[in-house]
Amino acid sequence: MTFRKIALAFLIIILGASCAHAKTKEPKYGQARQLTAEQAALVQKAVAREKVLIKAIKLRTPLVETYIQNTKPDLKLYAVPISDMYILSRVDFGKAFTDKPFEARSAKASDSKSGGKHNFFTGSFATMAGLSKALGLEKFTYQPNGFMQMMFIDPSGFDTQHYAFSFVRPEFLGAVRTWVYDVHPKVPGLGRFYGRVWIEDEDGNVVRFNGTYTGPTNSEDNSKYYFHFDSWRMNVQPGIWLPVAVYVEETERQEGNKTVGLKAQTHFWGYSLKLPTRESENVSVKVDDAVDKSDDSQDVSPLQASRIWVTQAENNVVDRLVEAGLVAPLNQGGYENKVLDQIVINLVVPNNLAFSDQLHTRVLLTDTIEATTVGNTILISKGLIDTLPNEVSIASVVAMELAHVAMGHHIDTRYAFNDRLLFPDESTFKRINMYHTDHDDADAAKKALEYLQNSMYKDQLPTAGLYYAQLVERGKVLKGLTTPKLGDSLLKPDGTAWMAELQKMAPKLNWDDLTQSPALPLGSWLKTDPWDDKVHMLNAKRYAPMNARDKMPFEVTPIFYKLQRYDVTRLDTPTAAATAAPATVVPPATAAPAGDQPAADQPAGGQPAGGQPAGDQPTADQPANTTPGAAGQSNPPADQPAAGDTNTTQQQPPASTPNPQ
Amino acid sequence: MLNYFLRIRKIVVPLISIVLAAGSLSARAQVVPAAAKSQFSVTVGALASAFQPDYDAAYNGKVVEASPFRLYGVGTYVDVKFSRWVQIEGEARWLRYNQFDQIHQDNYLIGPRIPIQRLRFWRATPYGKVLVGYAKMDLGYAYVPNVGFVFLGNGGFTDIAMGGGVDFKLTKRISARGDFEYQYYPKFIENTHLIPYGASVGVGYKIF
Repeated sequence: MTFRKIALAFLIIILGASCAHAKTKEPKYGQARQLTAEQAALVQKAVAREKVLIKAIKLRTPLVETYIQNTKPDLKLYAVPISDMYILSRVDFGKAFTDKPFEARSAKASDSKSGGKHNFFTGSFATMAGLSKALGLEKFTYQPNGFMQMMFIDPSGFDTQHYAFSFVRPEFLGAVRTWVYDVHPKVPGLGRFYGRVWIEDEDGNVVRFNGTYTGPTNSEDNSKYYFHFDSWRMNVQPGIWLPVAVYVEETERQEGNKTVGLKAQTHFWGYSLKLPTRESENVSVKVDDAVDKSDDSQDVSPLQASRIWVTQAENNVVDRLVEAGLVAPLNQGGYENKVLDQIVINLVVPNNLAFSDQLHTRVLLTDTIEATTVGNTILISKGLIDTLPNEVSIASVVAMELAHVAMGHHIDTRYAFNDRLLFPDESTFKRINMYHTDHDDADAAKKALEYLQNSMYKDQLPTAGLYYAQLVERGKVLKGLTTPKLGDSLLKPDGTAWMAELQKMAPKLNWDDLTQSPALPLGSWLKTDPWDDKVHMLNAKRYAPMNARDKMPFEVTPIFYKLQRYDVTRLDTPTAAATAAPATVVPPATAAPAGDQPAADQPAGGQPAGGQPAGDQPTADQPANTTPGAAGQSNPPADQPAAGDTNTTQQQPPASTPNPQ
Repeated sequence: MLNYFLRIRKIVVPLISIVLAAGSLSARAQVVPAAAKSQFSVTVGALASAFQPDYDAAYNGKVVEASPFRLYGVGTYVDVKFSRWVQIEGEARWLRYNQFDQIHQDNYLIGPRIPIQRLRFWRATPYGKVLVGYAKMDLGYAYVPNVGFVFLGNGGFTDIAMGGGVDFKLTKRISARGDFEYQYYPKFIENTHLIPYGASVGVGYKIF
């Protein structure tokens, strides 16, 4: 009996001591400064607007794309990527804030060394990997939901009862005046925001917040990670500010004995997804004066019928992809028409390619490096375009896709039946196979080289080759970025480039050679309108790299937006003149192979001149042609054509569109 | 014996409640973490135990009296930690020393253990556990009138154990443990119950 009493007393003491100790674990923050009545009123407004935002956002199911690069310290480049992860999901705000990931497509035959056949061992490994994941045995795993939820300050408890506010200063973010507050939780708990918020001073919307969430107070529980992040919102519609992007960075995280870092970007779009419309299907045209011309209708030959059938499949697939938020809706006069279509013409005309149907170019909205064709439509991913440094490198990608079209590597016509496209958006990668076989890719690469040799780009091919050299080098570690979701990789299964011939023409990669600009950071060229998914060119100043670190090929960079209030008078323009400005992206003009001719590296212009220089007529939403100034900075007026740019030589390709060089 | 169980229930039930409440409080987060590290680990260790066997052989045909002697023994344990909240403990204990009338007990138990993270302090983590398994017991000698002392043989019994303790992390891999355990044999001989209890101290090594 005595023994039992001692044991029980021991237990009670232990539990009591633990309780007493646990009570002292309160988070420690600086003293909150007293707010004036006006400052407090704006905070109250922000709290109310945040609740409205969360209610409004629950009605939508945007896409969320998170791309993470793990980095390690590097003496020369400060930090270099060592691995990556790409996640595309659709946000489900139904019951809780969760994400539904897009299912990966089934393996292409060349994706596995076993030739796509799953033998016992590969199946077993996959099962074991799945089991390990289910049991939580994987050493370190990113949780996409955690990145997605960085769109909120606190989805259920952002108010003055739970948070203390200290006014810092007023500040302009672009054209929007904001009041800046430091915020920290008043109560302990996991996942509460602390950091800084920017509240716009008209309606009290939080337009930016920057900080992190409270982690476990118990130092021993190191299994949960909250990272530092910078979350941005945009005025996408009158009175509506919605989350658009988050930048995450942890430069020195200890993992065992290793110092590792991470950089990530999360983007949201597809807030207002709707069915695409086609001009030819516009049934609301005036029919009062219509005349029955059925007698004039021509018969359709078998070949023509086959082509129409392919076109039907093509239209179905493209429409489905637009509906799923994976392809940008066609923006008449936008990037696709002004740049990509012009490059197509620059290749088609000198090669005498006679297509019976018009070729189209569209932008896949993913950050992955991929391209493909659907019938006569060339699809190039946003990530690929963003990292291509100049027009000739874009042309090299377009040439390969053009070859696919010309060689008849058409889309599977089963998609001409609409029922095959009735599936949840998250199954798109699995249900639509848009990649080509390795054999087709090899043929297309050969043919593409011919097209390029016959085109106006023939003298600049070594510049394009640099891109492939850099892609091969970074592709070894950036598997997530270089693995296509829908289309074709630019790399063979063995890691070499399909356009290896171009790579051979290129000089050796040299980080110290600042005239070399093999590839740009992600987000260098295009921005996606989060409301309607259209893509637009960045309207940003371009900077030349001042050292090897400024090159950042294929890397994730911080995000910064110059916010604007929604302008109801410009309904056809982007909702906010947001400018994702990679810190330093642009190589100097001397990167052009032909010498100091910046125009040589510019994407083509808006004139369908078939290889004719289109003059230097940058469009309003595109950065003008630039020549680095004395300080390595080019400063074209944002909306002003660089018509007088004397550095643009007449022998160069069309130069009406932006140039990162 | 029933009274005995009712008395320990007053302790065990609140203990389990505390464990569950602590777990649910800690699991709640305003925003989910962006990454998680696996907490999978396996720790093996050795125990030294002192137990009150709650059995004094049968005397005059009556079973069960508290033993006048405590049994001492050694044991081993394995903790498999899948996550902060999902952990399994397996233990084997052989109580062979200080026997009274050759009575001794062996336990082979397995079951969930729940660390009470909210009550952690310094390097110590309290925990609660519920184990089930098998107990093997030599029943010792009984005095039978006109016959004398008769060896009662041995038996195997279902064993349910509830308890708790504290793990002290000494180094990255080595930990010490203080553990208290009530065991319950729901079907002991002659439809009775047995409630041995005892304490253990041990040292563990985290294999991975």
